[in-house]
Amino acid sequence: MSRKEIEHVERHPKVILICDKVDELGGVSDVISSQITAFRVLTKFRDIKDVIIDSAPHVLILAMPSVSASIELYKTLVEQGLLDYPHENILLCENKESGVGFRCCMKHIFCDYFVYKPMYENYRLRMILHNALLRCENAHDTTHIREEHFGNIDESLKQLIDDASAYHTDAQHTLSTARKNIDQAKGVNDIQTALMNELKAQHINPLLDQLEQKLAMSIEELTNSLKNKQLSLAELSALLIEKSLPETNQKVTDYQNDKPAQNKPEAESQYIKIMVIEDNEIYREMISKILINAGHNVEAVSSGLIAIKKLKKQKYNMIFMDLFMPELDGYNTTRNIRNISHCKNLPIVALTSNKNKDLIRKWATLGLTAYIAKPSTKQSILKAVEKAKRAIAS
Amino acid sequence: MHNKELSDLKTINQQVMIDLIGDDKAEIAHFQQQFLRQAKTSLQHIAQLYRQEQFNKIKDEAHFLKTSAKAIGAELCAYHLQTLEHASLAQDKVKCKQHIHNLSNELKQVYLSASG
Repeated sequence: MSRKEIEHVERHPKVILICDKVDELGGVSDVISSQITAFRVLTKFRDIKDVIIDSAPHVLILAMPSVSASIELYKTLVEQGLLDYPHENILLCENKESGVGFRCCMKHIFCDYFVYKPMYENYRLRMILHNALLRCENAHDTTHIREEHFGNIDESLKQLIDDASAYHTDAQHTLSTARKNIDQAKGVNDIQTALMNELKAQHINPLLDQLEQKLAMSIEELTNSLKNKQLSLAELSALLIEKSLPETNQKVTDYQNDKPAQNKPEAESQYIKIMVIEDNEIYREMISKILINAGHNVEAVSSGLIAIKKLKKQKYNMIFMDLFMPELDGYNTTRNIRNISHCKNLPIVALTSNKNKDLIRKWATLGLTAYIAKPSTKQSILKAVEKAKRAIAS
Repeated sequence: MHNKELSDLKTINQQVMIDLIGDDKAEIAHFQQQFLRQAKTSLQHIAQLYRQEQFNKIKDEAHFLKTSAKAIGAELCAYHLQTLEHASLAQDKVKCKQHIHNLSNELKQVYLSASG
């Protein structure tokens, strides 16, 4: 691994630079890392794959030795289903291949391209990256809200947002037309034109900028109200569900004094398929080993997003899930999982610390089978499995 | 661990891992080494985030490492990470520095304990 690669080893990067020769991309790396810390340079396919699975980076910058090599690599990643999430891709190429780069972007293979050899305009690269991140953050947020709150949106507020959005688009169009008209306007002589330009620069343009800014802020405020309103609705709904789920908030340790059932249902004596969702690899490995040694079929994943993707395709008998995870926490992962038709009653055991009682209570309302205080013990973990088996059997 | 006094906390409480994964010494050593590698990277990251005054990210990183520390029974490390979480949540730069320093020292003790 070269020096530059060691410098950019962010665990959960938002931006990854995929290249063959790190040394040739020193300038590019410096520009990107000065703009975003969550950045990583990758050269090996296995590392690229692992990082994409673990972190789902928002922006992929491809800088292989040729444009065709970059396309090939991107195609492979797509074909393997690794890029099945909102992301931006940027092509870096040599000046001699800029025409090909342009054509790729026209064909929507890449969102943008940048000539890095020779590198003249580092500010243009900054701009490309800035815009890509901006688009990704917005896209991610939109998907998140839609998936998470689907079916629970207050109709009047939804209408208000839609109206405001339409108003925003109209107003932006009006402002843009006004700008064009002002730009095209000319005085009857040079003095008048100069005066008009001065007026535009000092008064009209700042005023239009201010108007645009205020519009953007209004939309943001409305969006935030929507999010807050949805959260309070979710909490209310959760409290109602909690009344009908007396066991959901019970600790596994409460079962230590349980008497073993005399006639075990068939499901209890079988090994089951378990998913472990935990971002910490050490704890993930430990839990997995305990379960594998007990004979269960275990699949361990590092994030809620990966878990949801897998759960849509395959059936599992139960889940162990961490609360605090990057991107999507345990609560929101559970909300999404409960929307999958075959996962409505899937037993979920929360892995968390004792200090998060309020969060666990909120989470429990989505239907937790038990919760385990980290680091816990082998005995508690296996008891949670037994409890899940009983839930499956009933 | 939460109910324990600070003076009761150990650099490595062997019983934690025995209760969790059993008493296979090779496996215990494997996880301890894995923790030390993870802690080294994490500590460097925390130091970088401290210089950039990114307190929220310090909190996340400390929480992340705390899970591993608890899992291998590094009780004092977990304690220092918990205090670092609190300090970063309060955006208290002076306390963060102190806790990062304590954590760094404690990690050296874990290394010595795991090597010995």
